[in-house]
Amino acid sequence: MTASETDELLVRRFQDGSSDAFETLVQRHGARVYNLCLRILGDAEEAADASQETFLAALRKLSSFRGDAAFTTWLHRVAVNTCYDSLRKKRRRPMLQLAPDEGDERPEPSLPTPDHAEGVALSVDVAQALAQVPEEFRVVLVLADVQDLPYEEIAAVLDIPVGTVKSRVFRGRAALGKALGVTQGEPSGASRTSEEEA
Amino acid sequence: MNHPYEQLADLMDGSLDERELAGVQAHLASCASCRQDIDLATRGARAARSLPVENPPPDLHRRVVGAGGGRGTPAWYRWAGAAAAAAAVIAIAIALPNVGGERERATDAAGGSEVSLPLAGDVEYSREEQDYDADALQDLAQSATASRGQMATDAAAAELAGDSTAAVRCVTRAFDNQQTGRLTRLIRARFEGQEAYIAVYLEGPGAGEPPDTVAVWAASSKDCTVLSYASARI
Repeated sequence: MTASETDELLVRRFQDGSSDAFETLVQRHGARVYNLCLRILGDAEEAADASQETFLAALRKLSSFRGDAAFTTWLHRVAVNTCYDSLRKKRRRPMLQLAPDEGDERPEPSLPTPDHAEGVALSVDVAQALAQVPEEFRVVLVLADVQDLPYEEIAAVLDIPVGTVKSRVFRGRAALGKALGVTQGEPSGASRTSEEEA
Repeated sequence: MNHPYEQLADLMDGSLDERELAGVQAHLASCASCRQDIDLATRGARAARSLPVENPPPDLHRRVVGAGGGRGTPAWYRWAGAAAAAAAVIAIAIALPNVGGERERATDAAGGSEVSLPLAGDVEYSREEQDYDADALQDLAQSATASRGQMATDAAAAELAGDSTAAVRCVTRAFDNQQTGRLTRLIRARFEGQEAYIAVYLEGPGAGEPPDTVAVWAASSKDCTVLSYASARI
């Protein structure tokens, strides 16, 4: 039964011409890829599209997969890159809409400042707060604390040093804590600042 | 002040040795910002880990594999395994989106009424009465490796020009996610009784290397869905 086969064996069977093997890989990793995309993109519909695109990209690229990395590492890399593409497209969209107008004269849209974000974070849930975490920290945070990947594997997925992974994980966690507004009203925050200055 | 974020992550994980721990504690004693960050990061990590695992959309599998409703796997997927076995599907420079995208926009900008050949100079377009099947598609792939076939005549070219605009639009939509080779030939014909476009692509390993594979696709001209695929090594 394919359910008991390792990913690597399924990949080999796919490379030998079995489309059933790829189907099993999709079933096995569909939820994982979807949740990764969902937490990075913060939108269910975009996550579904990105998951689909991830597997289609995997389908296209799997013939050249050499097995130097574990299949899950490789699939995470494909998924993260797909999410980055999706985020880039999303950033580009409003710019394209502005293009025909005299965009230079337009005031910047009023994005929430960190302080404002902190002010409203008390009323938002974790998923919404996660969307406020800067992209480069959010991706690592999701890989570490949502996908539960070890630092070494995250380093392999993103092709960055392990030390950078740890640093980004920590800063992502702190940014999420801040976005959740957990320090709102805590007197210790202010006293610490004055302590540091002293 | 430089903040030792990497060591602070290790501190949260409890993976610092005694000497490293002493160093981080010394820093924390003098850095209120890092103490606050530790507090925030602890809460942030707990929140991130509390996120529920959501179910993927029920149609994700169908969207990828196309096997929903017990209707079997679509043609484009069935050949994918075989294509992998032949190592024939290798990404190269994206010619198709250029053909479909830019030319289509040019035509739209002209109001859609002006007829100008929308295909690149090295892409031929023709109509045939032939009803292709999988074997015929394979034969076409084989023959295309030796000859690119007959070009449309000048008289036919003008008549076909408007038709080819729709064809390019259709194959662009049908193959956008799967095909990365260079479109060289488009045929309006039939595939297993359905009105279809047959598209011939040259694929190669990229990096300036010449094409090494001919890929032939069939797509329904009605709804631009992929019907079949064949390939042959050059």
